[in-house]
Amino acid sequence: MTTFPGRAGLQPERTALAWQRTAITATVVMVPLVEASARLGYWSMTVLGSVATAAAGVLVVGVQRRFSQLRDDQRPFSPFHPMLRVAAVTGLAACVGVMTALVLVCS
Amino acid sequence: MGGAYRMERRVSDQRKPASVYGQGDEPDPRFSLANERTALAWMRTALALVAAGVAIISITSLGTVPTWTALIGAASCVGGALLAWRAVAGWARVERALRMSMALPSPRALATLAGGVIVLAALMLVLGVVELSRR
Repeated sequence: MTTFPGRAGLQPERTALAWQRTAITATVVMVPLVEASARLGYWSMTVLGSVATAAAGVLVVGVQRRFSQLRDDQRPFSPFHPMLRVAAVTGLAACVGVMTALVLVCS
Repeated sequence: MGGAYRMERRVSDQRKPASVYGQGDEPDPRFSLANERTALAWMRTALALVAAGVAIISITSLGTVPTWTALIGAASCVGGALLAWRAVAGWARVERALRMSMALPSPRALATLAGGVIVLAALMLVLGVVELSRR
């Protein structure tokens, strides 16, 4: 049922690594914007970008939990909420990006 | 500790969302894991779109390209956010189909994504031509 059939195909490992790749990608998304806005003195955008990066950092920590779950846990697990969190971080980054674009176009 | 998880069937029925786990039977765990990885691949694609948009906006803020370039970046960000939502919704649809032993839904978002990337590439081409003709 929820037991992995041995370690056939290394499926749990592959899934855990997919989570890690996703979390790492999420942390680097805002770096150019934080850098550029800090240089130009748009401090609100620097703060918002840093908040989005921090949220992605929390995501990385959460992914470690999924790692141990996949390694040795027999518990039923739903990836729905972790996935929603990744989507929320993506949405937050997109919002900060759109806001910065609007500030640039309107100023 | 372990005893609490012995009654796997009952525990598994409490998983969220109920719209997915409330119906059908437990599929082969490998299929569920493959579905999870596919959704994460969509999520990384969404993150790449947002990252591209953020990079375009950051370059615009340096003032070397016309300001309307920021709007291309904003469109890319919006596309990425929509795709992130679709990744979660797509995961739920496929998981439900797996549990019900039904045919998997077609990856329609692939065509939309391809169209979006083509439009983005065309806009960047226009930007390149405009910039070159100004020199």
